[in-house]
Amino acid sequence: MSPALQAHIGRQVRAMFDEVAEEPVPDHLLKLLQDLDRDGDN
Amino acid sequence: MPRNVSPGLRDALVGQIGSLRAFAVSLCGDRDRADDLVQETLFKAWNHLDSFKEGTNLKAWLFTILRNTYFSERRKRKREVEDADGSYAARLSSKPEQPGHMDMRDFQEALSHLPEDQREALVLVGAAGFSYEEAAEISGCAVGTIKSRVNRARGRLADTLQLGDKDDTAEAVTLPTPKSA
Repeated sequence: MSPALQAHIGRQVRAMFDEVAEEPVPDHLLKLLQDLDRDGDN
Repeated sequence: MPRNVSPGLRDALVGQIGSLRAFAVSLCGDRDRADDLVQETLFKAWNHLDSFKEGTNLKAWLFTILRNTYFSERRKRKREVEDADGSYAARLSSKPEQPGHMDMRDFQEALSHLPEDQREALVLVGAAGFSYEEAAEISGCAVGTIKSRVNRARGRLADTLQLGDKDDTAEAVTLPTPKSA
């Protein structure tokens, strides 16, 4: 496989991944960590 | 109960949530299930922070927890219903996330048809930024196995999407290659 084709595929995989990765973190996931953190303080 | 978690470590965990979600979506092809997986991963990670050595690779540690969670659930589920890779593809094509660019949709579709181990390897190395060595550790296999999975994944994608090496004469083999061995 040529380096160009390999790079093309790489860009596509990254673009797909980054699309989700760069979304704002859903509140319920942030809240989970806050809750766990609070429990740890007891 | 874990020791008191330093704010730095907590922030580092939060900082990995985006990547974990992207990895989870790539594994299961379903947004809601992906978030469940991430939630479970964070929960497990939090309760096992004692076993994490601060200063080592947090991202790799979290990815390992997530993929192990996913595959062990899948094994359980698979015993109940023989629900192979087809369902992943069906979910992706039945509810497209965004209209998106046509190329991207085609690519997503092609990726969804890859065998699971190849998809995982390609995403770890090609998108999540892990080295072959790290990916091998995460997936619990040999470095050579990861390399060949990534290569096969690329090859399949190129075939499915009919991405030829048109302008690369050095590698554009038109004659059938002799099968050695």
